[in-house]
Formats: sequence, structure tokens, C-alpha cells
Amino acid sequence: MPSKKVAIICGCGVATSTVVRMKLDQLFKTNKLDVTISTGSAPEAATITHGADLIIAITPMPRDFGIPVINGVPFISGVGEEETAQKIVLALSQG
Amino acid sequence: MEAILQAIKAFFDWLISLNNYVVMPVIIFLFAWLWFKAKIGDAFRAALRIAIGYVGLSMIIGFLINNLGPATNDLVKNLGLNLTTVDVGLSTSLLISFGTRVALTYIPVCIVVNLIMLAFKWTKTINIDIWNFWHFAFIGGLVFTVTQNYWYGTIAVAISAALLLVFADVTQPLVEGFFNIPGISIPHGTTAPLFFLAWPFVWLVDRIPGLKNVEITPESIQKRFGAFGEPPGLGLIVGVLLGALAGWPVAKVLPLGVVMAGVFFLLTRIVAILVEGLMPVAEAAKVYLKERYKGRQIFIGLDSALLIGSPAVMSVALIMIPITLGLAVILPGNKFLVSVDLVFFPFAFPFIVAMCRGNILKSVIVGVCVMVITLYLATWIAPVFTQGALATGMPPLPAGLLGSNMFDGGFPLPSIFTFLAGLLPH
Repeated sequence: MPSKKVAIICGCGVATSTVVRMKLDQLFKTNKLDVTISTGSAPEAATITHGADLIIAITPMPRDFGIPVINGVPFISGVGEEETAQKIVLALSQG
Repeated sequence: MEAILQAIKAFFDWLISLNNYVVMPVIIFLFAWLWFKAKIGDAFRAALRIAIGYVGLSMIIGFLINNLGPATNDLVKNLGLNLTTVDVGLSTSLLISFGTRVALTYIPVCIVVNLIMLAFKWTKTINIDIWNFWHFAFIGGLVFTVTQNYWYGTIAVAISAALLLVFADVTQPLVEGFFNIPGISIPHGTTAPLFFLAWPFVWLVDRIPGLKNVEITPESIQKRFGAFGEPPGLGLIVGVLLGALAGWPVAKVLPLGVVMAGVFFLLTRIVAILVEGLMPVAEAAKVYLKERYKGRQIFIGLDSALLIGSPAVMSVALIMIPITLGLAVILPGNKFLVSVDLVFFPFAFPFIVAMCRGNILKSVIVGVCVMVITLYLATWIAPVFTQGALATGMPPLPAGLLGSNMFDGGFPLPSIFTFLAGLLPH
């Protein structure tokens, strides 16, 4: 299966996206998924999401990029983290 | 018992006497390994990340000062403006936060304060945003700088943490009403206090007739700024602008632009390294806190980074950048020339925008009022700020210049605490 690309969009590309990126790294490793992750802030969204298969948004998105978006806040708040992780794995495992 | 306490005190005194690059990492390692039971390899790796992040901060600030210092001096000479306080950025706030002995205990202090406040029902927020506890350590670090007293500094940490919990509760309706995020509150040291500072100005602006009819849409703003709304492009423009104002030739102005682009961008990457290093402790603390309050009706306190992607907030932040630069130059008596802080501008505006119900024009007017105060506070706090920064790892500035910043140097709580600390006997 070809490698997938995930874009994490956060408020400023610093604290929250670092936490989410590390957790996703772990998630993909555990599920043996071949995924590259790029992270960026909302203003950089257009460049960062280019060619992405999935967007994990931790902050409101500037606009619709025609790519599926999953809310990443559960990785920060801890509420619903499991379900979100499963949703992401499912989305990336298909085709 | 006396002997044990003496031994512990001796250990901490020795620890503090070590270079700053070593203290926080050792503390984080011990916390992660002993209290939160992380594997020794993970604890070590995290501690090393903290050390690297600290080294990175010093490097970035040194590089910034080496380039911005001369430009500032020339700008002052060229334009005859008294802008002698250099913006040394959020990186320097972090140095002050992590570099005094107050940093040894600030995380457990904040957690204990939160638990006490929850037990007495003085707050409904459980602040799991461990990374942003640095705002409280910053205030404690400033108080320590003035008083050279660990206890005063730590009391300041505790009071700031407590205040922000209350601020988070007060602003939670905005988070839910305007940003549509239920169950979350924002005890963020930069974002939340501005609700109170901006409130009188919002009240005034609401009474100006005819403002609601002016329509400025967020989308048009962001498109207009394009790549220059991102840190690298922004840094390039700011660097070129400062070089030009300093009267430099093009051959020197362009490199300054590139340097600033690099500093703006790399600063965020270095902070990310620190966040990585803190993660084991932060994640374990989150679990610990949430276990104790499972099922209770509480708000989860999170980073305001969750809010700033909103197009309205981003647009206001972008518009405020050139406006604030202009204010810095024209305000009489202001000595603080904002530069690196511009990267984190969005953190100032979420609640201002929410109070103005998304109205860009009103938000900008309120923003101007708030920034005027912030510039003057940053100017006022510069002597103490510089002293604290030099003591915690900032390389020296060129003669005649001071260092300061907006986040959080130019903010109300740090200024109030610094002022009060100056009144204490010491």
C-alpha cells in the first residue's frame, strides 16, 4: 500500500501540534501504518496540507481543502482519545 | 530529621549552582522517573530534550541579539527615536521561567493549587495544560529576580495559577459560545488575562455608533497577506523594515531579513523541542489529575492554541502586526520595539475577537488600545526583565540597550507582581 500523508494543523505549530504528532507517531508505529506526518500552523495550512490524505485539526481550519478532516483536540484533552485514534487508523487503512 | 532536610537543601543548592542547562533537565528526569514512574530511558531522553531546547533558546536569543542589537542602535541613531528596548522574544520568557530556583517546584505547586481550588469549589477548571504552566513560573521568576527569595517567587506562582483558573472559568462561556468548544476552558497566561484588560475597551467600542455596519471579512485579509502571514515571510519583512529604518544599505538589509525569517521560524521549532521534553511529565500529570476528577462536572483547561486558527482571530492578528509596529515607533515614551513577539500575536486576540462577536474592526480598535498598554508595560518592565534574563542564560546586550518582550513581559499580571515584589522588604 502506498505511503499516506497526514497533515496536523494547529494554532501555532508549537505545543499542541508537538503533542499530537508524537502521539500519532506512536499510533502509526503500533498499527504498522506507513504514514508521513507534516505539521504546521493555520496560516501555513495551504502549503502543509498539499497532497495530504487526511488532516488532523487542533484548531479551526481556515477553509475547506477538499481533504477529510478529523478533530485532533481529543489528543490534547484526553476526552475521546481512543475513539479518535481508531477513526484515524480506519481512515488511513482504507485504500 | 534536621539532617535529612539539610541534605536535601544542600542537594538543591548544589543543583542550582550548576549551569542552567543542567538544572531543569535533572529535575524533569527525577520527576519523570521517580514520581511519574516513566522508564529510565524515556525519562533520560526527555530530560536531554529539555537540555537541548534550553541550549537552542540561548543560541537563538544570542543570534537575535547579535543581529538585532546593532540594527537597533543604528535605528535609534538614524531616526532619533528612543527605541532602546530590544524585543528578545518568548524564548527569553522561557529562560526566566526555567532558570531560577522557582522552576524546581512550579509544576507540583500549580497542581496542588488546582486540587485545593477544586476541593473548595473555587474553580471548575482542571488545568491539564502543563506546558503552559511556564507562564506562572515566569511571574515567579520575575518576583525571584526582584526579591532573590524562593518563597516569594513560589507564592507568586501559586497565586498566578489560582487567578488563571478563575479567569478560565469566567471566559469559558466565550469558549463555548463563540468558539463552539464545550467542556473546555482556557487558563492560558497570555490569552485569558486579556479578557479583563480588553473588557473596558470593548464596552467603550460597543457604544460607538455605526461601527457594526463596516464589513471586513476574514478570508479577504488572509488572502491579502499570503505567505507574509507565516513566520518566515513575516520575519523577512520585519527584518528588511528594521534594516531600512536603521539606514542600512541593501546589502546589509536583506541578510537581516533572512536572519529574522530564520529566527522567527526556528524559535517555534526550538519551543517544540522543549514541549517534547516535557511530554512524559505532562502526560502523566494529566492522567493523575483526570483520575481524581472522573465524572465530575468540570472544565478541562487547555492551550489557547486550540482557538487561534479561527479565521477571525488570525485576521485580527495579521492586521495588528503592522499597526503595532507603527504604534511602537510613534508612541511617546515607548522604548520597546516589537519584533520576534509578532510570531505569537494570535495568542493575544481570541477573547478580544470573541467579545467583539467576530467583528474585525471592533477587535482591531480594542486591540490597538490593548497593544498601547502592552508596549508601555514592556518598556516599564525592561530593567527587571533584563536582569532576570541575564541571570538565566541570555547573552549580554550591546551597551545602552535593554531587553524585554510582550509575551508575557508586557502583560498586566507580570507587571503587577513585579511592582508588588519591589515593595516587599528584601
